[in-house]
Amino acid sequence: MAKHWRKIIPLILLQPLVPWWFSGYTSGGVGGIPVWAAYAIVTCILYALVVCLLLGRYWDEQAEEDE
Amino acid sequence: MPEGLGVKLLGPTGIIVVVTYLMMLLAIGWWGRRARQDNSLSDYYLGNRGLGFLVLLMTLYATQYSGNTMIGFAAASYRQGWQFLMALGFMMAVVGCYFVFAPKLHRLSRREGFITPSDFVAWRFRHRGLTVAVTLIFIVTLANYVLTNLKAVMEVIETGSGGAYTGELAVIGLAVLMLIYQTLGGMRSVAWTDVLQGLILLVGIVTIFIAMEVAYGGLTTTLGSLRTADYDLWSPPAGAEKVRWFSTLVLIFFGIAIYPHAIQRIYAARDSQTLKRSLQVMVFMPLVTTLLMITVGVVGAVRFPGLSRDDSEAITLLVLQDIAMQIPALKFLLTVFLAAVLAAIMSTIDSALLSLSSMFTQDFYRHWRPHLSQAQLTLAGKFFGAGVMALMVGGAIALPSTIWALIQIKIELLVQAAPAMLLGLHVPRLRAGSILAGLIAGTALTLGLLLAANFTGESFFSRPFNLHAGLWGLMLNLVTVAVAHKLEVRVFARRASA
Repeated sequence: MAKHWRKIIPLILLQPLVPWWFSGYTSGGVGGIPVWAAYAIVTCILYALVVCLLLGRYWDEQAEEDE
Repeated sequence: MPEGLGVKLLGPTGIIVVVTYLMMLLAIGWWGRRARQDNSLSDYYLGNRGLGFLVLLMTLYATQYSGNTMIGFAAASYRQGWQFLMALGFMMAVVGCYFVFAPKLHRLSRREGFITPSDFVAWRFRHRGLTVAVTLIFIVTLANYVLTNLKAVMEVIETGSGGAYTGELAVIGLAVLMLIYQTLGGMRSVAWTDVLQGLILLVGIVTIFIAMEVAYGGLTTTLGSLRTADYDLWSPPAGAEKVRWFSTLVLIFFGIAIYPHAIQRIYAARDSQTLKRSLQVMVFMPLVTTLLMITVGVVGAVRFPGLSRDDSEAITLLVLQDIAMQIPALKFLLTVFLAAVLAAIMSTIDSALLSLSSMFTQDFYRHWRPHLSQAQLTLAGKFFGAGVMALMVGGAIALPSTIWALIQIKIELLVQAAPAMLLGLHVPRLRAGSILAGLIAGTALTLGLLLAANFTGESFFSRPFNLHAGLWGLMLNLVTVAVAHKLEVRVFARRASA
């Protein structure tokens, strides 16, 4: 992965954390919470997984970059 | 927290628990002093760069989660419902930002011997004006952070004791205690006390969540009843709120990650792999902290609808009291809550205070008295710590404020220093003039908008078009850096050709 792109992935991935696609009241829910809130929680978990993987995979390359 | 809700935490059991906890902090402080390896600034402010995995993880955790997590997050969730899930995202976003700069900054900090975040700025740009400007932003925001949390201590003790203890007396007592263990062992004592405080915070929140599940016979039903009880809290955010949600995520991504005490924990890690592993775990911690406190707030909205804004600040206490009434065996939860709140607040204050003291010593005093030895500077740092604490306690007693409003202001200022740290690390050609111009422009716009909001009472100025004033400031900051850099490049090209 291009080294400049990977640095902004954690910033770009903030965008889907917002439930942009949901609007208006709907009675549907998952485990006692609204569907859009479940979406927000799931995307947060995915965000955490991606950041965890980025840290694991690219930490050394990030650290060794020339200044 | 409001008074008059009939919640009293500091009974005999509560006092015994709190006193035991405070004595343990002193013992850990003494233990930290005995582990001292030398009398250098590095040993005092960074624990000789030797924090291992567990200590590093818990000190990052305890420092990042303050009293606001226990009180403010649940209260905000009570008022906004699941829309406050943005807090879950922004606490994870902080670790996302660490990925951008922590690996390289950690390596440089060991090679160049950085003590404070401003040491990096001074090393990278070699410009005293820029270094002082960045340091001042760090100091103002950290002082603000300490003030906020000292204020929270006063409120917790006053409310928790039902008015039996004055907040002023409590905050002075706790400040003296924090000062003692911090002076004894510096970062080592603070980080080790953070392990205890982080564990209390984590166990406290998880216990409260489990108790809620047991007492209310399954949270699915309780939470689901919101569907018909309150349409607003069940509904997704409207367009403006979604933009504000995104604005908050970006603001905190750049803001909280560059808190000076957070950066000093990056410096203090034993090695690169230890830091990496700590952050890999840290990114999941909001799931067992923030998400659970949001749930407490939403459950509170179901059980106690219609509270005023002030009364909603005590929603966690109300839920716990409700649980204790249903299952008396769970009355101990009130004491657990008090201990967790105190732990969260104190771990934040002591870390921020140590960082403030380090900046006064390393970034200012060392320049005025360059011939002082490391031992003399360390001693001076301890005096600075005491002086800053006295000032902060005085401010907390004298200045009226609300927790959330202050937090918003400090992060909006702090993000203006982010380009100096992040671009400074990753864009080698950038020069000090561009960064300083951006910092001045961004800070001026942010302060101008916030002051306009304050004086006119128009909320538009604090969030024009639903984006935070600090984010507008950051955008102007970055545009100014880019333009100033282009101009600098042209000027240098002309000079070179002439």
